[in-house]
Amino acid sequence: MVADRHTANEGHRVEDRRIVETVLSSLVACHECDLLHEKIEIDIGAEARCIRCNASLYTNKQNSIDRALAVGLAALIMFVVANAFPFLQITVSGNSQSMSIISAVYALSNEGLWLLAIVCFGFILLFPLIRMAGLLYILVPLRFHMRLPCIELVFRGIVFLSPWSMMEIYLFGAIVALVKLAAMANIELGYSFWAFALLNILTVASLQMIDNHSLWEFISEARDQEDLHSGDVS
Amino acid sequence: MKTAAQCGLVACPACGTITRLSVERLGLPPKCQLCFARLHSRKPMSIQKSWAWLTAGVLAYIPANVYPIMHTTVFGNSEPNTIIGGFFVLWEMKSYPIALVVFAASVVVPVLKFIAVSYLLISIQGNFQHDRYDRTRLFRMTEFIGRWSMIDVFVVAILAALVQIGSVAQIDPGLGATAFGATVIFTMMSALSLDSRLLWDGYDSSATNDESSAT
Repeated sequence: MVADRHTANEGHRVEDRRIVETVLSSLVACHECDLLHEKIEIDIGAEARCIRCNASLYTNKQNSIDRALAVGLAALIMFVVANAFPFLQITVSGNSQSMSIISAVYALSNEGLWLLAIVCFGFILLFPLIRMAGLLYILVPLRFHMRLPCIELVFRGIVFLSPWSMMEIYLFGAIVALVKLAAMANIELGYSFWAFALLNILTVASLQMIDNHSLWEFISEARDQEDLHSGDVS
Repeated sequence: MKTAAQCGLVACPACGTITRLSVERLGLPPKCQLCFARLHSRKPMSIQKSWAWLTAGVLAYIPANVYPIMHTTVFGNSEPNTIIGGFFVLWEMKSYPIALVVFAASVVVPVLKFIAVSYLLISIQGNFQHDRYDRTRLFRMTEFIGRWSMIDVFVVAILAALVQIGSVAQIDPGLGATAFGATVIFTMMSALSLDSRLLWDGYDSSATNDESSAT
């Protein structure tokens, strides 16, 4: 990657740098306590943990872009379905009222709680959507050996947004609300409720398949192959 | 046993790639060469930021409990509901599991989080030598469980969206919900700005003296 861009008299320095880079790439630092470890081969499905604080260092997932893509696409479809149909419906003495997922955001803004409405919109809809779309933005081109621009930015966005994506909490919130209302009203679960529940299962599954670190591995593997190719040409 | 910082290295917070903190780049904020994320050996101003967010969270928790998080109107009679009130209603309805979930999310978790983060910060500032492993686990739990408090805000939002049945029953969100949401976000920010690596700094010098003096 570096070597062919430099001139011949810089060649020696570049060699040194390559050695350093190789050594550094064989190391991993614990993200929780900063302890350095040497990377070793681990079995598929296994997980390497920090010897000092027991944090997860890296895992060896079956690096299958196909499986990750399948789950990612299914999740996106479920996201659309979950937002297209009614979420819950309530009937009290003949009067009924139904809501979709986004209605919760409207309910907050209607009472003038603008800040909270905007924040909830991000937590429930926008951030999860960005995360899902970003994943596909990275994985689809990788699958077809292409690269779209700003992949690094998208990757960092996904890492940064992970703690702020709260779909599963919203689902549990809906269940608590159901229990609160069950005694005094008749409640029906809409299609969207089931789609949303499925979406949450798919999200958990996709996180099992590709955590942030293995996602980066996909990207860097593709990059290494690309470098090999460009090296052959020049 | 050496940390990346002791070797003059820094790991990228996003992609994990290890980079040398070289002298010429110390001036400007270094970036990861692969994914361009900002690199910090330790998060800058971690302790101060964490204390600041925590204080903001504690302060926001006061109006969250004083103001009603929602107003319930049944047949024209309007009644404010506070956080604690919501728990008592569920308890009287005998749905104990859900009542406990609500109580845990709205009272136990925020309060424990205030205490836990304060303890972690004090332990870093006081350079405590003991129980580093347990404190790391406490940090992990705080980080994991904090966002679940948001469940209260979502319950209010869902109830407000659903129970709008004209003259029969109506639920409207109250100012307390915003304050409670702020508490959750502020304490999450507090945990996110707390750098857990600080919990382990100064560990090697005491335990593995011979190894660290070798280089």
